[in-house]
Amino acid sequence: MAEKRATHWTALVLIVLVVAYAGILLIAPITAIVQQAFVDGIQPMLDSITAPDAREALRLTAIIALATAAINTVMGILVAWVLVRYRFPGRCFIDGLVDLPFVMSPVIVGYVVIVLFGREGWFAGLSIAFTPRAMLLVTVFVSLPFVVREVMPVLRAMPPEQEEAAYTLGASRLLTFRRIILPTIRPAVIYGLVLTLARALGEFGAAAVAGGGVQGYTENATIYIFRSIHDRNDTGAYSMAILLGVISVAVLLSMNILKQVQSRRSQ
Amino acid sequence: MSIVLERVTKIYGTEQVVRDLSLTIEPGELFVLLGASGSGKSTLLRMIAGLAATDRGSIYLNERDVTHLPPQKRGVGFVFQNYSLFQHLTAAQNIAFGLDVKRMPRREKKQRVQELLELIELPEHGNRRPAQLSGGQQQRVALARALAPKPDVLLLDEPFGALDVNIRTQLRRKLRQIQQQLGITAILVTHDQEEAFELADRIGVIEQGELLEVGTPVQLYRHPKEAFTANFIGQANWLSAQRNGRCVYVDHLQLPAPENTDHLSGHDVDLLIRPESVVVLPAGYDVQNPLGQGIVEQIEFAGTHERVTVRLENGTRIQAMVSLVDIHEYNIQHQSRVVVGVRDYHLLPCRA
Repeated sequence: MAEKRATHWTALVLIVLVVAYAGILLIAPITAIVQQAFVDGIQPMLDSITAPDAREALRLTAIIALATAAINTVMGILVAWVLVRYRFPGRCFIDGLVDLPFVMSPVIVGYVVIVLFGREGWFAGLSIAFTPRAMLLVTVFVSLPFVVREVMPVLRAMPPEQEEAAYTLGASRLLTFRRIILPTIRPAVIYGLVLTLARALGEFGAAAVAGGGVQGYTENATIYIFRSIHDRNDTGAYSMAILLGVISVAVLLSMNILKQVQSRRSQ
Repeated sequence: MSIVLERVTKIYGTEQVVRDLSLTIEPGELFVLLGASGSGKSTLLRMIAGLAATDRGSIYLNERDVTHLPPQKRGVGFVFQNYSLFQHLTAAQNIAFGLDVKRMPRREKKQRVQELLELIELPEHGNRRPAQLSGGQQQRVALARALAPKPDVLLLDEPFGALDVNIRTQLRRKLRQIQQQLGITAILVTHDQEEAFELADRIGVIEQGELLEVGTPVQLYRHPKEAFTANFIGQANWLSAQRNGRCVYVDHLQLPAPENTDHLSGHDVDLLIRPESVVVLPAGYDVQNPLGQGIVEQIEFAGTHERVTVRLENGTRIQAMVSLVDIHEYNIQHQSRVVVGVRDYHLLPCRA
C-alpha cells in the first residue's frame, strides 16, 4: 500500500512539474505575444502585416520554404536511397556528414556561403552572396537531414523481397519505386517534409548572414521580426510572430491529419 | 513449359554456391529441390527467376535462353517464404499488380482477380489488407499474385516454412491441387523431406551446390544412390558388409543379395536398412533374414509407431519402427530380449 501511494505521489509531482515546465516554456510566451499584439485591437495588426515590407518578407519566406521543401524531399529521398542501397568508399563519411547541419551553427553556415560566393570567394563569379538564392542555399543545407533521417530507417527495414516480387511480376525498377517503395516510405517522407518546412519557415541566422537582410530584397519573415524589434515597431513584430506561428502550427496540423488519413487508408 | 539448366554456376566471392549444375524439368512437373540450409537450393531458384545472376552456364525456359534476361522478362511466378505481399495494397490489389503492369483492361482484370480469389478459396477477402490476413491466407494471396499473369513457370522458395504445421499440410494439398489443375511447371525449394515426399513428382537432392541425385520420392527412399540422400531422406541403419556371389555378408551372417547389385560383387558395401524394414520379436521367434539377438535399449513413442533401439550381441545398435499393436501383442519392453530380422535392405558402394 505504502509503495502504491509513493508511486501515486511521484506521478503527481512529475505531472505538475511537466505541466509547469511546458506552461512556462510554451504557453506563457505564446500568451504574452498574443496579448501584446491585440493591445491596440486587430486593425493595427492587419495594417502592419499588409504593409509592403511585411508582404515582401512573407512572400520570400513562403517561396524559400516551399522551394526548400521541394528540393529536400527529392534530394532527401535520393540521399537516403543511395546511403541505404549502395556500398561505396566514403559512404560512412557521407552518412555522418548528413548530420552536420544539426550541429553546426546556422550563422557559420551563412558565413561559409559568403566566404565561398562573396567577392573574394572561389565561386565569386556566380554572384550568389547577399541574394535570395544564397538564403535558399543555406536553408536547403540546414534542413537537409530531416527527410534523409526519417526515410533511411524505413528503407533499411524494407525487405528486398517486396521489390523482387514486383520484378518477377514484370514491373520495371521505376514502376516498382513508384508503386511499391514510395507508398512504403510515404509517411516518413511526410514527417520529414513537415520538419523541413518548419525549419525553413523559422530559419533566421543562416538566412540573415548569407542574404544580408536587405529590406524588401533579402529580408524574410524572421529577419523582419528582428528588424521590427530593433525599430521599436512592436505591433509589426508581434503580428508577424503570430502569423508565422500560426502558419507553422497549421503546417504541423495539416500534415498530421494527412498522416492519419493515410494510415487509416492503409489499415 | 520445360526448364533446362546447363552447367550453371554461381560464385559468391571465392565460394561456388552452385556448381556446374545441370537439370531438366519436364512440362507440368512439380519438382522439389531438397537440401539443408546453405546447400545452394534457394540461390539456384533465384537464378532461374533472374533475381541472382548466373556466373556460368545457361538457363532455358521453354527452350528460350533466359540466362541473361532480367526477372521482368522471364515469365516466372515467384512465391517467397515470408509472403512478401505489398502491405499498402489490398489482397485484390496485390493479385492485380502483375495485371496492372501488363495494362490489362479493368473489366478483364477484375474478373481474373475474382477467379484467382476463388481458386485460393478466399473469395470474400479481396478487400482485406495483408495485415488483416493470417499467415496461411497471406501465402495463398501470394500464390494467386504469382499466378495472376499466367506465368510459364512457378517457383516457390520454402513457401510453407513460416506456417504452423496444420496449415502447412492443408496448403501443401491446396498447392498440389492448383498446380495440377493448371498444369503449370513448378519448382519448390524445401529442407523438409516430408514436404518433398508429399508434393514432388521428382525430387532433386542438393548439397554444397551440387545436385547429388534426382528421382521420384520412392526411388530416392528405397534405392538411393548416395549415402547422403539415404541419410537426408528418412532414417537409416547402416551396416558394413561384403557383396560376394549371390550373397551379402555382414560379419558371419549371410543375406541374399538384392537384385541388380552384381556390379558390386566382390566389393565392400554399405547395407542400408530403413527402421520400418526391421522386424523385432521376442527372443526365440523365427524371423526372416535374422541379424541376431539383442536387448531393447530404448523405446520412444512416435505416434503411430514406437521407435525401438536394440543393442545386438555384437554391440551394433539397430533402430526399428514397431507398430503399437506388435509392441503390445509381443510385450516388447525396455530390456526385453529380442531377435531382430530385416524385411528389406539396400546396398550402396562403400564410402571411401
